[in-house]
Amino acid sequence: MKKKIRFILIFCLSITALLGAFFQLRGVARTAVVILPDKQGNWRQVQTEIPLQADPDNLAKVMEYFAHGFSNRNIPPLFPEGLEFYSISVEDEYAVEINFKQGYLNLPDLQKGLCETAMIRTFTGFPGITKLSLYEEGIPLPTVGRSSVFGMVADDAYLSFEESVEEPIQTKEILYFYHAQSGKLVAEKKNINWQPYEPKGKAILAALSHGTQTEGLSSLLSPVIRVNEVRIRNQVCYVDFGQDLVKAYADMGATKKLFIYSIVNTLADLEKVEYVQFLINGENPEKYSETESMKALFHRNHVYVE
Amino acid sequence: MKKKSIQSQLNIAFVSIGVFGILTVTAIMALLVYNNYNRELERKIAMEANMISGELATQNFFNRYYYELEKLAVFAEVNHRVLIINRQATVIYDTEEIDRGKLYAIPEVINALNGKSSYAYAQKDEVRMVVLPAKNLERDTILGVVVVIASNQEVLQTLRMMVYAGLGVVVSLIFLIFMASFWLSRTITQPFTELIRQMNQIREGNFEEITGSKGAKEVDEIIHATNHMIRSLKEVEENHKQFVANVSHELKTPLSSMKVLSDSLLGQSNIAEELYQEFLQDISNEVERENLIINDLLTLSRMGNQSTALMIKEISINELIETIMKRLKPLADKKKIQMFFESSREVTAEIDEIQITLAFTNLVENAIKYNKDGGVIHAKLDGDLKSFTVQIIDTGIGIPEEEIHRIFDRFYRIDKARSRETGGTGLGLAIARQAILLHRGSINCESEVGKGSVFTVVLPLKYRN
Repeated sequence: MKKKIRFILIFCLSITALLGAFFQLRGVARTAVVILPDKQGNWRQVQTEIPLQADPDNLAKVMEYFAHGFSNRNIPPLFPEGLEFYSISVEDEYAVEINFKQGYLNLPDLQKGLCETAMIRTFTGFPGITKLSLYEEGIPLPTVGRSSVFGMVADDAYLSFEESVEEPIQTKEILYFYHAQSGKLVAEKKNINWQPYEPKGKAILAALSHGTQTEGLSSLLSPVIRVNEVRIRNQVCYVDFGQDLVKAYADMGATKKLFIYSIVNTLADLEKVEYVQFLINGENPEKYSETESMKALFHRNHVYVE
Repeated sequence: MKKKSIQSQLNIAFVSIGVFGILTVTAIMALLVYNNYNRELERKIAMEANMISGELATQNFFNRYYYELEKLAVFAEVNHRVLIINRQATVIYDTEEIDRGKLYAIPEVINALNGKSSYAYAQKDEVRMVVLPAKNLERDTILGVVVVIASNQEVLQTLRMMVYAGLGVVVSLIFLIFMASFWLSRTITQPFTELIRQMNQIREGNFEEITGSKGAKEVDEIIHATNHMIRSLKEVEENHKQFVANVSHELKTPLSSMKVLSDSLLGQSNIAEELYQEFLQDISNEVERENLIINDLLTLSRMGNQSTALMIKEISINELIETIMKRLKPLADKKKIQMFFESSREVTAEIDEIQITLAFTNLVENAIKYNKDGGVIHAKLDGDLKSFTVQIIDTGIGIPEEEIHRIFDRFYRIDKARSRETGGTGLGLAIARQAILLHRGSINCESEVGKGSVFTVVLPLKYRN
């Protein structure tokens, strides 16, 4: 009897959740969501009656909300009183362009930041819109070190801390693997995924130790060898290994040099790295007789590269 | 549902406690380590953020060009990712080169630009962030925001290892835990096992008292109570045997007399009619006597049978005693015994009239039988709110002190010969006592040889089932 009741309860909750998600999706799919900060600085997403179609009329209605806020939800206006714009349009079907009248650049810095965040995240919610360009009196507004010279994309603005750390970064890096046939190292470009709060160098060495799918190539950095830390300072990349390296290095035989330069050349491709220093549990490898040959500061060397 | 033995229940309890205990300790230790590490991490990144904030002010950071920023010594000592954000909530420097140029208008940064420091925590990846306003040298103007971000994935790995270690300990010790619980439960239940064995012997009819082993206090109490019960059973058994012997003897005696008398009649010829009549009269008297004994035994048996219900009615005790004394007056008159009844009040009580009449009749009859010629019998009745008391006082021969405690026993007679002369069966007081006990009352006797006896009966006014 209890099992039956429990089953019915779970079933009802599931149906309710599915229905809720369905109706929510329906809502999001059909009308625009305006994103604004409230008085406490928290970002709020407000469903409006504006159709989710990127045409100037609908976009202008969104701007109205930015100008007036949502008094019934205690959300103040984003734009200060008096801030006006000449036009809002869609270019090439993917970019929203807004031409403000004089006054936008005179806004307080924080308010400008909030306006730009709100606008880019709101307008990229319209289907097909991926970019926002701002003008004042027809002149493009300056961007600070962004990838796009003119305008912003959705990824250029974060609304929460979780957003900024949850997506891994993906970059293409050059890794050096061992080619047994030639007895040399071969450079291979690979996609590396790494978390924004972790050192990139450590992620690269993790990818190196995972090896490659390419036939004939293998990694000299065994997964058994623990990498404690990778830190870059004053053009030197310090790589701290665990104790396992001592025995593993001693067993490498003729491939010792190749092991060293597989790591050195891979890390030397990082920005600001000129030299690589090996450490074992924070100490110089000269502490162990087996790893004494690793004690130097190593520079990139393509002698060992095919 | 089949019941589990105490031993198996104890085994389950001990194993559960052992396993649960180890896991609980492991979990608590892990939580303490986790919390401590997080506090320490937050402290470190907060300190780094403050150091950076100070350096930014001294190095005039926010007024420099981007390419100059990397050369600043401020980032040399930093172990974690740092973001420097300007007043437009835009990242102007990122140690990891990921978010430079992006808008970082998160609530914590907005608060910092308004002067408040804060901490943030992303649960999914165990990432912690400290956000501080970066101020000028005079500390009166906010120039931007310093954000330091750190992950505590390492401590999670340590914690995972701790939990695995805890589970490993549980698994490796599970055999020892089982052995220990088995030994412990066996030790605890061993006295009970011995007790059961000895009690099974009682069931088979061996009424030997139980000897206790060196067990717990509770086991000793069980043994003590059981031995008391065994002694009671033995006493009952003895009483039963005694009763059977007494009954046999009492029933056989009149039969023996009848046999002798009838054999005499049969063995003689030409017996004179007067002698013949005399012998037949004696036989008739013995039959009557036998009948009395059997009737009394039946009465006693019915009283002892708990399935026989009492016919409880509200009866006037005054009238009841008066009736009894009136009925027995002819008997008393034969011995010129004077009978008096005193009552201080009208007493009515819920009683079985027949039973109580029988009881009081026996007491008054004995008072007449064992009284001196010309003696006196006083019947006194008194009552209070809950009970009433009846005293039958005679000036009879009295009862020796050493025999008083036996007078209510079945067939017990102080003077057999005298009682046979008066027609007693030896069951009168036993019947009276049984009737009174059925009503939850009490009866006792005080006596002095040569002076008389006082029988005191106390009965409740309201009958309680």
